[in-house]
Amino acid sequence: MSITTMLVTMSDGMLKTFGIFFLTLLGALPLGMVVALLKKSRFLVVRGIVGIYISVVRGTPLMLQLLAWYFGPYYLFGWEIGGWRYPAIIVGFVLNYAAYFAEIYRGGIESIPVGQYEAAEVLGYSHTQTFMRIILPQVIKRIMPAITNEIITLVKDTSLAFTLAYQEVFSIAKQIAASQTSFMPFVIAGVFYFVANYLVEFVMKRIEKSMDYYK
Amino acid sequence: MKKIVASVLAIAMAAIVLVGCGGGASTTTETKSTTEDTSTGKIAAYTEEDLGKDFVFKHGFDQEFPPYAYRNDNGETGGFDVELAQAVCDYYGWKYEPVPFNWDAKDMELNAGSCDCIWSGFTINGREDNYLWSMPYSDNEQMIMVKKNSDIKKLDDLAGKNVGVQTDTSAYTMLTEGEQKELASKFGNLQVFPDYTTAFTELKAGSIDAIAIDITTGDHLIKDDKDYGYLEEKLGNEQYGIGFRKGDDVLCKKVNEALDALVADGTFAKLGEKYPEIQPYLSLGKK
Amino acid sequence: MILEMNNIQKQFDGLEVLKDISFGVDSGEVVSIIGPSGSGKSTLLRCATFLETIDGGEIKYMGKAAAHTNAQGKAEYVTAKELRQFRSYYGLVFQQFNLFPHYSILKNLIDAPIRVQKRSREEAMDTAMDLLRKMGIDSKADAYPFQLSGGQQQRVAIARALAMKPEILFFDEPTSALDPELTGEVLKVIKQLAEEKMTMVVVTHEMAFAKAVSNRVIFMDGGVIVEQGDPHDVFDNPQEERTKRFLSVFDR
Repeated sequence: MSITTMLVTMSDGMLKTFGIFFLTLLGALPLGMVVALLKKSRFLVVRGIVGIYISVVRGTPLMLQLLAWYFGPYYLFGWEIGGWRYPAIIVGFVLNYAAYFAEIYRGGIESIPVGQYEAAEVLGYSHTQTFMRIILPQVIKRIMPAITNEIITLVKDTSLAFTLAYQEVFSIAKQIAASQTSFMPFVIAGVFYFVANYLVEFVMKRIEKSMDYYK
Repeated sequence: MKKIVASVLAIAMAAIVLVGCGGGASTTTETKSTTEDTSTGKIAAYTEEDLGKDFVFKHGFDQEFPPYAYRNDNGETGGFDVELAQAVCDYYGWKYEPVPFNWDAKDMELNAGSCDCIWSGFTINGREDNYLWSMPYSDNEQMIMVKKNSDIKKLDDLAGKNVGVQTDTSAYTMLTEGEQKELASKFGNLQVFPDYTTAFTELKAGSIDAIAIDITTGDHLIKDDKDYGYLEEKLGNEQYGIGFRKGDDVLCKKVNEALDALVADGTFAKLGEKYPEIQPYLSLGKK
Repeated sequence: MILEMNNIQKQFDGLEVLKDISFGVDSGEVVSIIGPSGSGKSTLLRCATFLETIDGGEIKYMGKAAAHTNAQGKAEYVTAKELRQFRSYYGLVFQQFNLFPHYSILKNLIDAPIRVQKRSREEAMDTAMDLLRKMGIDSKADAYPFQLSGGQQQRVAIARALAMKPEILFFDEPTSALDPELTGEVLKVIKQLAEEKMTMVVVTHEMAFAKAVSNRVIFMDGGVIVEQGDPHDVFDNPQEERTKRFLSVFDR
C-alpha cells in the first residue's frame, strides 16, 4: 500500500476524529458551565449529585466509561444497541469533559474577588447581568491556559474511541498496520495528532492574546 | 475480560441509575445471567419474515485479522470473510452492514445485538457450546512462528522461552485452557498481545522468542519477510465457522443454504483464488 | 431625610456587631463615621447598601422603607425587584476600588447607566465624560484600570458611582488602600463634592479630613454610636471617655 493510499484511507478517520473533537467541545464547554453552577446550587441534593458525578467521571478511566455507555444499556435494560456506537462515544466524551471543564470553571469563578460581585450589586446589575457581563469575561481570561491544556488532551483522547472500534484515525492506523505489517500508519497518526494540537495551540494563543488588553 | 467489564459496568451504571432514575433494582439479576451464559442474549431471534429483501445483515468482525477481515491494499474494508459475507447478502438481496469491533468485545457486541454474527477467522474448536455455529468452511492449523535461524527447532525447545499470542484467539485458548496447556506451563512467559501485528513487531525486535499463531494469519504476516518461518511440529488443528446467537436458527440455516449455493455456483472457489494464503485450507466443496 | 436607619441590629455568628443603632442623613449633609477597627462602622455602611442583611431594625430611603422589623421581631426586606429600585438612590465607593478590569474607564462609567438604568448611550457618554473631566482624568477614558495609579482608579470609582446619579454617596475607607502620597487627590475630589452639596457618608481614618469636610462626625465603638455632633465639638471637646482615648491615639 502506498503512503498516498494510507493517507487517503486515514483521512476518512481524521474527519471522524474531528467529529468527536468538535462535538465534544460543543457539548462539554457549555455543559461544564451548567455543572459548575449546579455545584454551587443552594440545594444540598443537587450539589451532592453533581459532586458524585464529577468524582465518578474523574475517578474512572475514560476508556471504561466509553464501554459503560455503549454496553450499559444492554446489560442493564437488555436494549439492542445497534446504531448506538457513535452516540455512546459522544455521550461518554461530553460527560467526561464536562466534568473537567466544570472544575476549571469553578476554580475560575471562585478566583474572582468578591468585590467584583459587590460592585455590580451596588450598581444594580441583576444576577444574570453580573454573571454574564462582569464575572464570566474575567473567568474566561483566567481559565484559558487550563482550557487549552484540556483541549490538547482531548485531541489525543479521541483515540480512545478505538475501544468501541469506532473508525477514527487511530483505529484505522491499527488496522492498516495489521494488514500491511508496517509502522508507517502510526507515524502518520502521530503527525496528524501533533499537527492538530499545533493548530489548537495556535488558535488558543490567539484567543489568549485577544484578551491581553487588560490584567 | 467480559466478566470484569460486565461487573464494573453494572456497578457504574447502577450508581448512575440510582442517582438518575432511582430505580433499576430488578436489572441486577438479569445482568448476571447474561454474563454467565455467553450467547443466550435477550435479543429476539430473527424469523423467516425478518429475513426478507430489506433485511440488513450486520457482519461483526475484527478488522485487524488479515486475510479474513482487514483493510486491504486500497484501504477499504476487505478480506475473505468480508467478501464471503457480502456474497451471502447478494445471494438473498440483503443489505450488508460491516460492524468492525474489538476482538475483546466480540461477545458483548453479539449479545447486545450490534451485530448478527461473529465472522472473521472464528475458530469453532473449544467454543462449540457457546454459539450457534454455521457449517465449518475453512480448516486451519496452529503453528509456532520463529526466526529461521532460531535455536528453537521443536515444541520442547520452547521451555523457558517467551512466547507471544493474541488475546482470545484459538491459539490463546489452546495454550491457556486447551490441549497445549501443559506445554505453555513450561514457557518462560506467555505474553498476551491485543493483536498479532504487535506480537510480530516484538518478535522482530527480539523481546519475544516465538509466536503461537494460526497459519493463515501467520502467512500473511511473513509474506514479505522470508527470515521467519514455522516449527514443523504443529500446535493443533482447528476449523473456522460463523458464530450466531444461540436461538438464531433461521438466520443460521439461511446462511448455510447460501454457502452451499455459493459453493455450487463456483463463487466460493473463485473467492478462494483471490486469497492464496487461505485457499489451501478452505474445506467447502472439496469432497 | 435621604437615609434613615432605626434600631439596626446585626450579628455575625452570635457576635453582636451593631447594637440598636439609629441615625439619619439629611440632604446635603456630609457625615463622617470614625472609630477603631471592629467598631462596626464598615458593617453599618454595608447594611445601609444591602451588602449585609440586618437582623432587626428599619432602613428607609427617601421616606420609603426597604426593610423593617416584622411582628416576629425579624428584619423583613422588600422584594428583590423593589430592592433594585432602592439601589438607584445610593452609590458606594469601596476601599479596593473594585473597578471592572475588563472594561475601559469609559465603559466602567457608562455600562450600568445603560444596562441597569436603561439610559441612552449618548446621555450616558455625556455624563461620563463630564465626570471624568471633573475628576481630571478625561484623558484616560480609553485606558484600562490596570494602567492607572491607585489614586486615579479611586477617582474613576467615584465617577462610576456618580454616573448613576445617586441621592447619596457612601465611602468605605476610600483612601486606606492608597499610598500616602495619593490620598490627597482623592480627598480633594470628595471635598469638591461636599462643596457642591452632594450628600455623603464617609467611613474614614483621616481625622483631619473628617474635621475639615464634614458637617457631622459620628464616633462608633463596640457596635454603638458613642458620640456624634459638629466636628469641632467632637474633635476638640469630646464628651465621652472612649472618644477621648481614641482621638488621643491619633494626636500622637
